[in-house]
Order: sequence, then C-alpha cells, then structure tokens
Amino acid sequence: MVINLSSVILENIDIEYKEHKKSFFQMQESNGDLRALEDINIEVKSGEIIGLIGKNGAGKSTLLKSFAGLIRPSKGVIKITGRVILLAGTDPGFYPDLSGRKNIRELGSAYGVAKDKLGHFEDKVIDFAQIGDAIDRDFRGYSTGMRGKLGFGFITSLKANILLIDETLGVGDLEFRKKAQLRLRESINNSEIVIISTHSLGLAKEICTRGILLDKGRLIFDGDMTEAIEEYKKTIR
Amino acid sequence: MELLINPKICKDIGPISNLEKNLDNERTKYIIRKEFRRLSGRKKLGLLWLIFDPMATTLVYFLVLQVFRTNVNAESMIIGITMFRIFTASIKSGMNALSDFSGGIKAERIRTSVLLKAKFGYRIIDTSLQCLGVIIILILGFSTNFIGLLALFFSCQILGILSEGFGLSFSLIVKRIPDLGNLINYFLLLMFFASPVLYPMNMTTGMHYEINRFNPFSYFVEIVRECADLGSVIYDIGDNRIFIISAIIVLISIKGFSSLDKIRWEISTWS
Repeated sequence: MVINLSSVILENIDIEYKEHKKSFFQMQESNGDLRALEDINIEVKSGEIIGLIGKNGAGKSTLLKSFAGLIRPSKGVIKITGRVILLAGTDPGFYPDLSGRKNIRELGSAYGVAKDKLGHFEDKVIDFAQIGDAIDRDFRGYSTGMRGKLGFGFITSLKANILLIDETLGVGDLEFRKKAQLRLRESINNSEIVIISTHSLGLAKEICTRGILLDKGRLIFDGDMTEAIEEYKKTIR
Repeated sequence: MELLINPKICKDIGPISNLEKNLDNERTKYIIRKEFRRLSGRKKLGLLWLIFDPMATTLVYFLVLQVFRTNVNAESMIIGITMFRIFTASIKSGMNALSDFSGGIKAERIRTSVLLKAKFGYRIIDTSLQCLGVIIILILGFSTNFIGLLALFFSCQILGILSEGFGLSFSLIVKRIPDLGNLINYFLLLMFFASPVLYPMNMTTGMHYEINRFNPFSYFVEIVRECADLGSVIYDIGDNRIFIISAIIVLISIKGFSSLDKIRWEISTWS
C-alpha cells in the first residue's frame, strides 16, 4: 500500500519581482527587479509545525506564496504533495451582496466541502464567528471585526494537508485573538504540515517544532525554534 | 497528487481524481455565478437587465436614426448592433482577464483549466441572454425567419468566443502598457461606425467597402443578414479572403486561450 504523506520541497529557489517602467517608450524593459528570495533550500515533512520569522521585508510572505503555488520562482524547483490552504488576511473570497450564511454555503462548495457536510460546516463557522443575527444580513454591511471573525472561522474550518498562516492573528480585539489562537491550535492538529509566518515569538516558541529565519531574502537559520529565535534576536540588536 | 513548480510551469503531476474533478466543476460553477452576480449586483431586476439592456439600446439607436430620417433597414441595424455589443464585450473581457486569477477563491490556488472553463461558460450564457432579448424583438417586431434567428444566435456565440480569445492574446501587452487599453477603445469606437453595424455592407462604396472586405466582423454580420433574407454582399467578399482572415483570427484566439496558464504564471511576480 502506498501512503502519500504531505511534503514540501524547495530546491535552490530564487524569486524576483519584476517592475516595469512607466515610460511608454521603454515598455519592453523591466528594471529594478527586486530579488525577494535567494537560493532557498527547504524540505518540510509531514508532522512538522514551522515558524517562519524575520524582519519586515525579509521574504516571509513571498515564501508562503511560493509554497501555495501562487508565484513563479525565477530559479529552482518546488514540489508540493497535499492540499495547501493559505490563511493570509481573513477573506477567503466572500461576496458583498450575499448574506454571511449564503456566503458560507456557496464558498464552502467551491472549497470542496461535500454537500451533505455543508450544514455541519456552516454551523462550525457560525459557532466560531458568533455574529448573531448579522449572519443573515448582507456581508457588505459587516464591520471589519465581523468580517475577520467570519473569514477566520471559515478558513480554519476547511481541511488542509498543508496549512500556511501569514500574520493573521494580528487582527481583531483581544477576545477574538484568544479565540483565534484556540481555533488555530485545532486547525494545526488537523493538518499534516503547518507553516506560520509570525512576529509573535512567544506563540512561535510555544507551538512550532522547527524555526526558519529569513533575512533580506536569504535563509539564515533552519533548525530548532528556540535557537531560531535567538538568532533572530541577534539580527535586530 | 503532486504540484510541480518551476520558472516555466506550475502543474499537477499524476492523474486527477474524481473528487478533484467534481471540485473543479463546483469551482467553475461558482466562478460563473460570481461573475453574473457582479453584473447584476443589487439591481432589483438582476440578470433580466442582460436581456433588457440590448433591447433598450437597440431601440434607442432605432429612434435616433428615425429622427435623422436615415434610409436604414431596422432589422438589419438591430442585428448589427447586437453582434457588435457582443464583439466589444468579449474583446474587453479577454483583455481584462489578467486582473484576477483567483476566481474569487483566495485561500487556495485553482487550476487554470477551471478558469478557462468558467470563461467559456460565462461567455456562452452571457451571449445567450443578450441574444434572447433581441430575438424577441426580431420575432415580434419583424417576423424574422427561423434560419436568420438561428444564424444570429450561433454567429454571436462563435463571435463571442473568438473575440474573448483575441482579447486574451493582447492582455499581456495591455497589462504592461495600460495606455493601449484607451487606444483599443478608440479603435473599437471607430470600428462601430466604419463596420457594417448600423447599415448593411451593400450601402458602403469605394475604399470604405474595400476595407470592410478585410474586416472579420463584416463576415459574421453579413452571414446573419443573408440568412435572415435581408440582402448582403457576403458572396462578393471572396471565399479565399474570408477563409484566410477567419483562419488568422481563429489561430490568434486559440493562442490567447492556450497561453492563459503561461501568462498567469508570468505575471505572478509583476509588481
């Protein structure tokens, strides 16, 4: 019997953002290409929870997007086995002119929730969001907090083999953050691989089994999370 | 299933399971519904506007031309305007295709084949709805023959899909040089008056006529007019010319659709 465990392999990855000149007569050229990642080699196996740390602009979000197959490397190869969900921000794609409830059902189908499980899925999202009667109002009228709760509840109710999280815990009030952390732990337990990009070193130390430190697009450290944090602290001194 | 990513491609390795095929179908339907919702928005009549709008626009042109006392066959003009609306809407939709590759599903990458299927599905339904209102006018107001109505419906479908692919072929350059979008809009405006839209091609003469013999839009609209017994010059344009220019348009359109994945991948790192 063949068991396909989830995995992510990055070999010699470079990522460059192309910037095009605004001048009409220099339309063919690209200039000032920004190298966001340089020579990255990472192998992630099933069961690992990785904390991705580094200063702003270090390349953390770019690395997460490359894991999700959303951006093109300019060099190297990425191999991903398993379903990848990227939790970046809290909007999975809600439509403003539909109610929260209708959005959950419609978008749930598009994210692969089976028809017979849509009811349970809807309950799970609504239980987390706890936005009361607003669930049957148009999404357009929701406050930022309500949108965040519904979006976070939705994405963390999906089943992913590989869960990528990009700074999402920074949104919402204190109560929401506490609740979101609990929910996140539940999602982590249900995923085979979790990669979290965060500035919250306490959270990273608590839940991550491995730490990756990036600086100016280069991989500076890959190993134990506590050691990664120590290395990170050295870079900001 | 394994996803292989390198500078050239982002593709799934191995067979796609039935579960994934079903998911792709759900996503295709979702994207089509989302596109139509975007159009209907919060309007009370919703998608009915897709049927009413071509009817209303056509009637406005008809009234304007009546005021100017032009000697134009109304039935012929209605066919021309309907087909030109579909032509421009499809070209613009193709050119703007690069604005969003998520299909509204932001937390996960969706296959390009899903985007393509959604594009075809949307174009076919949109064209059908736009034709429906005009077909009702042609039946009630002009007793247009059945063959003419069928020709209008199918010509619009083919014109819509080819124009969408044609627009897609130019999407990358329009994305790189947004100013071109404005130039293309002016060109389409010029085409509206220079092509046989408001009048049949047999009303044109000299250079105007000769230019329209190279205009692929003329072929579609004149074929429909011929089928509707409105008189056309389709047989005077020349079989070889129609074949060669149509083949070029088909090839450009196929290139547009087939390069969607490549374009999607290329612009993923454009800032």
